[in-house]
Amino acid sequence: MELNTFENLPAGKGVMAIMGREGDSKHIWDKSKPDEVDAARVLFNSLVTEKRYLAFKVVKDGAKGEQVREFDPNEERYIFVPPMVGG
Amino acid sequence: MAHGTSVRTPTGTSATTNGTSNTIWTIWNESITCGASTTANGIIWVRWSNSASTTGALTFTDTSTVAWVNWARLQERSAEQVRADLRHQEERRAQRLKIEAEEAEAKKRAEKLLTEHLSPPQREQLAQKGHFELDVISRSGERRRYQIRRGYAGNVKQVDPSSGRVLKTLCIHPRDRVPDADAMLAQKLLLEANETEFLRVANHS
Repeated sequence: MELNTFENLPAGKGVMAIMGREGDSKHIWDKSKPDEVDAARVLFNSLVTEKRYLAFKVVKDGAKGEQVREFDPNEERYIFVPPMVGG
Repeated sequence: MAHGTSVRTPTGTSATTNGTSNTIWTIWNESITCGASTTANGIIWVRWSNSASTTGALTFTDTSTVAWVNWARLQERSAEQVRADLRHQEERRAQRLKIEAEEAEAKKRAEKLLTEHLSPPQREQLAQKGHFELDVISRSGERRRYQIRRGYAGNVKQVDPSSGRVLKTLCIHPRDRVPDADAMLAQKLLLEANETEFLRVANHS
């Protein structure tokens, strides 16, 4: 399921924003549905382990995010950043 | 002139040839702007009709159909080529507009993601000054202030918290190209979550 914004996230759902060339794409999962949770976990692991993206769990309004390496389905928001390099 | 008869008036406004050789004539005609011109030579005629140096009426007096057929074909091909060129131009324009629209949409999405993850004062700073600031407590306990300016690379500055003077420029960005606002959010997230790693990866100047 696609979501255009972190705002108004439906209750009981979590969302991942994955940065890319065309802006971020969002992946949403229903915390009460095991298959959706599993799919979100697979995506998380693929991004972090295989593609070496940095995963941050975040809250809105600028509070400090936290870099994480394991998926927690009870979290609401993740942002995935491509590997960072020095310029 | 060795072959044929070519007459050029003192003002160079018209030219006539009765000759059978086209060599001198075509070279001369293509290098000098001429007015109305007459020829019975089909080869010359085709060259003239494509030459930008002939400004006046071109008269072809031969009764042979060969030159006319060639000329007609030349005109048809040119019109067809023009149509093809116009089609290609339109396709390129449509492609360019599509890319621009996609880039604008990407920029809008990134801007929204960034502002959703700034504090109200940071949003204000970004709107007013084109940068936002964040304070980080380093591992040593030192409080450091960073400015993240609009941009993709070389846009992070460590500044003196009291004077605002730039102490250092840090260059670090996502390896894969993302919109600028996404890069700025990435810099903020890593700097706040793991300043040590941020400083390790960044180029300092």
